Amino acid sequence: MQPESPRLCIFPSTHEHLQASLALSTTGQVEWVAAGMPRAQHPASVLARIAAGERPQLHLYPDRSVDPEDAPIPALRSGTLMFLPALEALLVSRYHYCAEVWTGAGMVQLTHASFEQVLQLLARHLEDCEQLGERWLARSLQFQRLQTFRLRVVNTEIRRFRSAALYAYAHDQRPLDQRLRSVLEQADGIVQLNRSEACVG
Amino acid sequence: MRWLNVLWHAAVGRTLGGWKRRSLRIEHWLQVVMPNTEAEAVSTACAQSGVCIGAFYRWYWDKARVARLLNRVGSDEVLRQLGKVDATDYSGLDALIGQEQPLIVAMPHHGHYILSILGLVGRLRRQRGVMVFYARPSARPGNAMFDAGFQASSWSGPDSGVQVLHDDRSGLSNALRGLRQGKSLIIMPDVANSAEHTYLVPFAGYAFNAMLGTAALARKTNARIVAAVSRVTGRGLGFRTCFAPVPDGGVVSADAHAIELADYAMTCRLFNVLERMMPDLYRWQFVREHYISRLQLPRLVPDQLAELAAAFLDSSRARLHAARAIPLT
Repeated sequence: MQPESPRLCIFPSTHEHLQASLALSTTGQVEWVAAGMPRAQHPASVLARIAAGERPQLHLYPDRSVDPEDAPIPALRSGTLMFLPALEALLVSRYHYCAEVWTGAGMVQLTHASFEQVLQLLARHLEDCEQLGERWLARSLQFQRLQTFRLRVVNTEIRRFRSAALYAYAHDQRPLDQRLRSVLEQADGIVQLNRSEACVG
Repeated sequence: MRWLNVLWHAAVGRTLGGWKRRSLRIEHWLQVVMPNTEAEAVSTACAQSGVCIGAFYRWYWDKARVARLLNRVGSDEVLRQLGKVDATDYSGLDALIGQEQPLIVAMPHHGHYILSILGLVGRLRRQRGVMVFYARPSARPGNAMFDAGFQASSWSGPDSGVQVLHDDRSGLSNALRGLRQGKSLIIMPDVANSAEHTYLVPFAGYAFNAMLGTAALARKTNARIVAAVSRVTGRGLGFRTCFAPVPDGGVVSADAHAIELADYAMTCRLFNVLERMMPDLYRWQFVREHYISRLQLPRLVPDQLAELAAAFLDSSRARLHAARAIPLT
């Protein structure tokens, strides 16, 4: 007899859902996973434990996973390019979790699904969260999934790296050498490529 | 009546200056209501200067007075009054004006910078002419006051020796032309239209987003950069503009990256000089953002660069262009 699949539930960040997950997590019945919430677990730490063989029951809030570390998967839906988290898709497609996902039409169950199929449902989940209006507490975070925002973030990071490289020379009044030139050229190239052909579908 | 007004302003200034703790009421009245993070930043800056938050309120009150004066009374009247509050020793600047090299005066938004700029314009216009470079009022509404002030004063017109330039393409090309003709330029190096075009330079404990424009203008025109900081003297609207030349970096080759390094190094030197001239950082317009962002510039060594570039610039995080989106229906 096959052991029962571990279960995960995906909820929108509303006051009611968060309260319920918090209550269940304090009694040890589920593990509450939500990026950026002080009493919840961070998605990356959960994935590491599951990869090591643990199979806890999970309450997941992927609507809070918006930054580049937590949402690295580019996906194109209705002409909009956004970045989605990988955790949920990995748990179902690789670790055989059974998923129950909140949508506007109720909870949808997903088992034995591919990585893409989970992303598909995740995108629908996020789209349906919009229907919650002000009740959706993670609404204001969603712009961080968009390509335009990601480009700005990357360019800021490259600019910071470029400044630090220049400062390594300016501080000691060193002349330009091949080491610095190579880094500056590399940074120029990436900024240009990102600008011209970012995220082709 | 005028004396009564002066006395009243002085009394309010003294009262505000002695205020020990944060007051939302005062902030409402001064129209500078700050979120807690900003108030903490101001308190930190005040503590570093050994003063209470009241000193910041006092400065804000005085700044508002300057703005009201410029808006209310005719600009020429303001210019006449300027001599009474300007305690600047211009002898150091006069020596530089006398030299062949064109002059770029880099003045941050500190102290009574508006009065200091007016004082400088009055001084420099009589020599070889002066250009004042700042953001277009449509981008920074506060600058409308400058535009109106210059237009209303006897400093407007082609013979005045004063030219107002805005930070757009035509302003830049006029600045280059004017400097090559030997005019002086007053520029504010601590502001940028967009952070995307800035570099991080060390300044007052953290990294600051600075444009390389001042350095580039100096390089292209062989101009000398002089840092100028407006210091408050503490008597009414009294101010003293302090000057310090920024060390030159020498000849730069035509290579684009060598130019970038030279302009960056010059900007670092400029901000290093400015930092030493601004002990009262709470009187700096951008102290709140600076102390909240707490940006740090990592200290790297040249031998690390290749390794770090491989770790960061080659990562999928940086190479967004290499990402292939999964199509969803």
